[in-house]
Amino acid sequence: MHKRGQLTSMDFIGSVVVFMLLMIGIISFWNVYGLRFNANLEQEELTLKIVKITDVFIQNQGVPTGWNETNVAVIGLVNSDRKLDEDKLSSFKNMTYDNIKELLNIEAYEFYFRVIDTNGALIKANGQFIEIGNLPDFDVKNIIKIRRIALYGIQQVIVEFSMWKK
Amino acid sequence: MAFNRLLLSSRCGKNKGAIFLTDAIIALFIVVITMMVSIFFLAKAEVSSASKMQANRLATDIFAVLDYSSTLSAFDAEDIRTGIDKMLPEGYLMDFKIECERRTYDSRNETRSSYAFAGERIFVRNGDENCIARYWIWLE
Repeated sequence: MHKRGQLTSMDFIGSVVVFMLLMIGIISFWNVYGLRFNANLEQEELTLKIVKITDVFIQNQGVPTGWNETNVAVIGLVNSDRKLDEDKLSSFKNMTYDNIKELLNIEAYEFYFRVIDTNGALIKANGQFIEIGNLPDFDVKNIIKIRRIALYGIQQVIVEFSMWKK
Repeated sequence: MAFNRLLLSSRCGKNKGAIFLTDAIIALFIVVITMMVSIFFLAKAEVSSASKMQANRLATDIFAVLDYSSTLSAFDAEDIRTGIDKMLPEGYLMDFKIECERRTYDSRNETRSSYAFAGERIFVRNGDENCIARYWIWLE
């Protein structure tokens, strides 16, 4: 009689220990993956945003179609699909950094934009190098950079856009 | 479990341990399977669709630019390959196949089982020949 009671309590303690270990394992696993999943989701969201922005840049003329820095409503940098327009590039360069962020609806982010040739050299439009914003600091995490290919005259160029959270 | 215990207390006697063990094994099996499925889906979610989206845009851009610069319609496989290599950033690889009514070229040495993105572009060669360019991009 006495021994049977002891066995039951050993069984119980054993099962509680196993259960606790399993629970601790599952909870810590869930936490780690939950954090990674959230970070990933944020990155996906940022990527989607950046892809859509660059889609508009290199596939649309913008609004109005012959926009300049004073009357722009939507920034499009081409005169036809993937053919960059020198005047629009130059107008884009002349816009203020904050005005661009406001129009692109990316106030919560920082960005860096440039147009380079296939050797990596900056491209000029109306005498100005097309480079807007500052490169991110080394400690900035989750930077999303996209490279889009377009034509500038007869030259193949790379439109590079990077974005990261403030 | 409670039902098993009830049965055990009434009539199982010797088999008690065996039934508990079966219960435990089945429970453990379910837990392990559930965890493995969760890990599988979480790991799958981590293979970023972001890089696939970038690959998609990159490949589409390259073939649009090759079309607009008349490189595609010239149908010089070497020129097309050079153009692609010039525009393709490091870490990406591309294959392509161009089928026209009178000529076909396929850059693929072997068919891969998976790609980040596959697309196609239709163009006209010399004003009268319909062609289709198919392309595949993947991460190195």
